[in-house]
Amino acid sequence: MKAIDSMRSGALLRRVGIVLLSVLAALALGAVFLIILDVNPFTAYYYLLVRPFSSLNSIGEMTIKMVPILIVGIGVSFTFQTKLSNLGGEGQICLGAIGMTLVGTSSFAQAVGGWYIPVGMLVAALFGACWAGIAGFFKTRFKASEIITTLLLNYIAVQLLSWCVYYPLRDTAGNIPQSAPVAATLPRLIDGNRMNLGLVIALVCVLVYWVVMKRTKFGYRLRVLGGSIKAATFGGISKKKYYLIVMLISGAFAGLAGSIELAGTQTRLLEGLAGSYGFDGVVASLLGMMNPLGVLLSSVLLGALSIGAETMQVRTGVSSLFLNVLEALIVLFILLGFSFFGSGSRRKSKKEKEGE
Amino acid sequence: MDQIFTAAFLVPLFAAGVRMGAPLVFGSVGDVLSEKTGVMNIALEGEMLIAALLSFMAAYSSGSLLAGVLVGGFAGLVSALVIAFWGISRRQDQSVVGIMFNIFALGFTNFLYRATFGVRTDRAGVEILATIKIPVLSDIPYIGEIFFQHNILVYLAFIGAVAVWFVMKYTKFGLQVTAAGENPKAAAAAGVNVVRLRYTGYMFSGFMAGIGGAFLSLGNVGTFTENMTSGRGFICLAITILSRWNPLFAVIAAFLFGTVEALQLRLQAMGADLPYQFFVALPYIVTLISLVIFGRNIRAPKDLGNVYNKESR
Repeated sequence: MKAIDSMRSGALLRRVGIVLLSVLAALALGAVFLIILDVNPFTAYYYLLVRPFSSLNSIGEMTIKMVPILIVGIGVSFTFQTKLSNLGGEGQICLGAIGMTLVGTSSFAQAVGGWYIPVGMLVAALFGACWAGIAGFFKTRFKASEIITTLLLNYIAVQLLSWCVYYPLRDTAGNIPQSAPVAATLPRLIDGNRMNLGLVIALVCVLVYWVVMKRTKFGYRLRVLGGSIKAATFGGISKKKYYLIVMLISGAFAGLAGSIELAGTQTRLLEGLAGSYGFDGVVASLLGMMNPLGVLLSSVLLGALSIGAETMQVRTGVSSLFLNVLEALIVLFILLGFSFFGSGSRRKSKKEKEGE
Repeated sequence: MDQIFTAAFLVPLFAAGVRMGAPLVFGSVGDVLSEKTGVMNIALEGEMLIAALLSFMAAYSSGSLLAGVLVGGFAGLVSALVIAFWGISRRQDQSVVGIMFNIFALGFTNFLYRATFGVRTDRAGVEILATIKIPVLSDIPYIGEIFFQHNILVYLAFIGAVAVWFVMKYTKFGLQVTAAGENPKAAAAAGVNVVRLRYTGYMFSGFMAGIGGAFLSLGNVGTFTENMTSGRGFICLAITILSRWNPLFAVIAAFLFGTVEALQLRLQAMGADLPYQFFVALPYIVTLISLVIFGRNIRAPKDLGNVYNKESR
């Protein structure tokens, strides 16, 4: 992830400026697409950008979308720190959701009620970690590109989830391929609003990420491994071990996100549960430049846009996946902006060369 | 099992494998050349998807399949040009740019298709590319049906692979390509324009991916469905590695993967005693396992994925 190096250099004001300009440029280009297809961009952008913030209710909906993006984004950030890419968020979310369903629909959960949730989350994190661990193991043992393997694993996980809801976990009471509802859902934070405990957990994840990266030896080593800290001594750090650990951590976060989506929002396992959270997390991490606060703010933005995109689709007929277009354009413009205006982009590339 | 090991089952299976492997040949052979120059085409998936849609739209509105295929190739080429600007000229991380392009392509095609054709159950469609029987060769028992009764793009895929193999192995250009991918600084010192070479390789890869995308919509089904590439671009990347950057091996691997795909469809239709999800996942599982088994200890072009910076010598 060499690109990110140049994104992290330079004065804060300049960085924020580049990001804001990139967002504007992406919206402008998006508007051109909309106009060509005969859609009024102002109407579309009103539903996309303004409506999500118009009521407490929609802010609650926004947090529901934001939470999985944020947690996946934090997990992905761990891998980006070491210049590894975990693009398997979607698959790991699926596995986490499957784990949560197994616990949440068991007789154990029936007996203890809401207390199954921490156990379920642990199992979900474990499932997600194992799924990402496959890619991590292949990377460290066979040098298989984690970019390709994590993507391939997504397709397999989606089918695995589909199989689960069609066969072993299917709710025989109905005709729809979905699991039985979990014994209890995540507690809500405010009465009459769908905002739930997942939000608190997500914020704790951000805090954990911040503490680990800034305050622990482990985090320091990850940053050394990724080359964002110049370290005289590289000795003592086994690259392979850290690559594997970082993939496991990242998978655990995505699995946790899956469990929250399941127990907080969907309440049943069903196809398409992972949505686009996997790649949204990647975008959130890049957009936030792997900075804890940055990832948090990006996730808020993406969560709001996701809600807005759904409203936009209903009201204007523009596909909600138009959001993908905007997300990708924003990140691409940011990269472009930093390549032109990021201070020290040349200095960095020189340093990089010396390091190799 | 008896049902499977008969000529009546195997010959159409392999023929379908060749047909389904052809888009993978386009994707991976282009990527082989691009990776040889030092740039991995992570955006293959997105390029194929955009080309699949635009080629279909062109064919649908003009009524000409040829126009459709050409638009597909052009769409891939332009996509690659845009990505190359980020990845080569502006020296941004090629994988990040490629991933973002794939996300863009997924949204863009979905948005464009729905805006153009609306959401309806009766899909707009065109005729698929006609089968051309090669005289004499197509009459050979078994072999003829497997290899010589296909549409024009299947033959072009094979010819393209041989051409790339020849160029890489026997021409000065091929030598420069290898040099740019192995040691760009030494190549530059010897007078090779590394940036131009990488652009060429990458855009060729985009063009080939575009033809592969056009194959998906115009060669197989005659329509566009959302996210119809469904990971084929990533399978192509795996094929590139498995082929050890040899276009001829890439053809063999692509046809094997095509056969796996054809096999899973047939087994599903036969109502085999396994859940259908297993069959849908099979091509990805096979790709993953082959990467691990056959992909180890393979030496990639040394400078693959690295940013080339002319100024920092």
